[in-house]
Amino acid sequence: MTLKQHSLRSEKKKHIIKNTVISIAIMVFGSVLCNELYELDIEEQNISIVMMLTIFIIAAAADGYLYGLAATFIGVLIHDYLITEPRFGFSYTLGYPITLSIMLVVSLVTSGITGWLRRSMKKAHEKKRYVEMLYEVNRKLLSCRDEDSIIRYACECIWNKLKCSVAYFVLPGYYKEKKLYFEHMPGSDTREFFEDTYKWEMAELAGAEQQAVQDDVYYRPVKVAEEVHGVFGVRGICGVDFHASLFDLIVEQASQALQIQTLNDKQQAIKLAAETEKVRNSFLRGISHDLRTPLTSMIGASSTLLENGEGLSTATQTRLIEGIFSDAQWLLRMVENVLSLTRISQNDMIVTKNEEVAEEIVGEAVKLFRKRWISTDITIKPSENMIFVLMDSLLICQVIQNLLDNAQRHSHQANVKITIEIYEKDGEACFLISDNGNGFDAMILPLLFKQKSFPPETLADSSRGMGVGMSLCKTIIDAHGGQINAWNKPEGGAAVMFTLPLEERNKI
Amino acid sequence: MNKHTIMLVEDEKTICDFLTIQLETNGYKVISVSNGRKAMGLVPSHCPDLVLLDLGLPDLDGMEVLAAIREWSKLPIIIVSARQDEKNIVSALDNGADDYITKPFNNSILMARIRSALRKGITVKPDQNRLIQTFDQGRLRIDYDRRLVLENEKEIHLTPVEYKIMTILSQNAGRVITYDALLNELWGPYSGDNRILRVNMANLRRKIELNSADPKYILTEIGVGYRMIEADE
Repeated sequence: MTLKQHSLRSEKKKHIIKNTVISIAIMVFGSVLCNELYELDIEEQNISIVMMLTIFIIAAAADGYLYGLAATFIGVLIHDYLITEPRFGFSYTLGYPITLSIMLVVSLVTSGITGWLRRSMKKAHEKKRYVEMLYEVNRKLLSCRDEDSIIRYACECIWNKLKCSVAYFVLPGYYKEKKLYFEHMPGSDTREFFEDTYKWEMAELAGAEQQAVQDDVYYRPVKVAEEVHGVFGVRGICGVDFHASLFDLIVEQASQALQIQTLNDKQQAIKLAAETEKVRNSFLRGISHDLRTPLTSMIGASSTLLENGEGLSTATQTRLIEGIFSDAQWLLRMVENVLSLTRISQNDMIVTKNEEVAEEIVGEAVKLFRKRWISTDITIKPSENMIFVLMDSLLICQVIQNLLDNAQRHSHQANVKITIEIYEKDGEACFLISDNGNGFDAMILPLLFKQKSFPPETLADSSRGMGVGMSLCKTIIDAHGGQINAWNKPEGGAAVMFTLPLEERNKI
Repeated sequence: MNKHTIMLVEDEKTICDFLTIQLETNGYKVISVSNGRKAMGLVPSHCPDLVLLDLGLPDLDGMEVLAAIREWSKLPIIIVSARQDEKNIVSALDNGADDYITKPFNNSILMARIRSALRKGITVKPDQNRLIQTFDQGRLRIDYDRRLVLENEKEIHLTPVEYKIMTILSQNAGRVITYDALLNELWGPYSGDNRILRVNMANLRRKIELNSADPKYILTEIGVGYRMIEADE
């Protein structure tokens, strides 16, 4: 504060010096001019006019009445001294006071007019700046994508424009927690100042639109959808140029931005719900189709056995029973996939994660897979160091099993070789599963993880499980905040890689 | 040889049917019971050698049946659960169940579990002093007397904690040991997470397994614990 006052004072000093220098320069120039004119024998009335002009110019150029007044006195005296008889002496004629007062009036009026002009110009300039600033604030507030950044930016604005410590009290509500934002001079005690419970009470009072008791904080509530969202408070000791109206305007804009944001969020939620519904429906359609196929063959095979079992050779019977067994296994995988979807929270697609060791999960998935495909050749290349990953272990196990299943079923090779690599890269745990089969169909590859856009003819045609299994993998990995990609290896065979984000402290 | 008696507590008739056939063909005598109260009543009078207990029963929660039997008997109990929810399994194991298996299960695995649970039921009783001196499993050999672990006749250097994990798991080979049980045994009542156990296990596996991600001796039961495989598995 003292620094500010100090700089203000020195600025004023500069201003005075500048005005004085200008005034004296003009006066000297005017006097010399008058003297020259006199030497040239110009008539006295004309020289008086020149002196008057000088005074007029000083009044107009210098900022303030004082210079004009001083110029008047000095000008009249110089004129008297230089021009009026006797030269280089004062005459004190009867007309003297009259001349002086006329000059004075001229100078005062001039100063008044220029001063007024100057002031209104300054005002216009300030207004322009003000409007520009508000426009900028508004634009930025509206470009914010979430509540948090709107509030942060509003606080930052108030601090930048008004140089006041500011806080935003988010009042606890139905869907939000009590929270405090603030922006202040670095190193000051503002944090402690605003974290005080008393300040909270005051903010709550202001939020209820009751007059807060006299306090050194100026509060303004923010309303969103007829409900008080929070309260802005600025700390009382503000600079000279604190504009309550500017503060109010920024608050008003912030609340508008919040309002728009809330509406957007609501719309987004509705859209998302509709989208989820659509995905769910197509998932159900896909799965019912996928379930019907193995059931048909199971019912068919078992009824054949029941009705003409005795007429069939043992080999045929065994083949039929094996078919039932493998279809049942497949059905089980499907049902497990569907069940695992229920582990992902429906609306926010969030899973409950625990710390797991990456290689343990892969090992377990492979162990389960080997129960169904005993002879498949699977090689696991573990990471050098153990990796702890936050995940829902059952779901990730499911993903690995689905990918292994796909490799097994779609590689069209007699002896499939599957390789699983686990490694850590750029803060992510990477799981790369590749095989030596024929690779993905070029038609299907780009659609692999987009179950909803699966063309119906490929779905009906495709070997079962294709669509649902892969899109489920994608859903699960997405819910973990990871990524999944598939490609064909140049040397042949398919590869799928998924990544799971690691937390900093999870590295060992 | 006297046939072992297994009590099957299961309400689904089809499952009950095929299990009965499966168990009888494997030489067990089966008593099947369709609800919890009946099971609690029949266990004292029939004294089965083992109970296969379904957790989802029509009248009671399987956990209650488990608790009631455990009040007075140590007979082996294997939980059969359709719930793939690891929490239920862990709490059943921590409440005295000997092992678990989730539906749908592989018949041969169920038989292996039954065998190892029965063996434990027998060996516990006679003389505790004549403890087994060595543990042999494939290329792995544990010499309890000399506190040595050998892989393919080559000694493996283990830390004391790793050796202790080996002994606990090998002496309970075939049975799952929950994380909490292991933590308790190794570090006492330990309130933290099981990270320390995981790290030790990962190191141990790097020493004894050919491929730590594809273990042959110590298997992971996700979310539940670890299991060392048994000779006949």
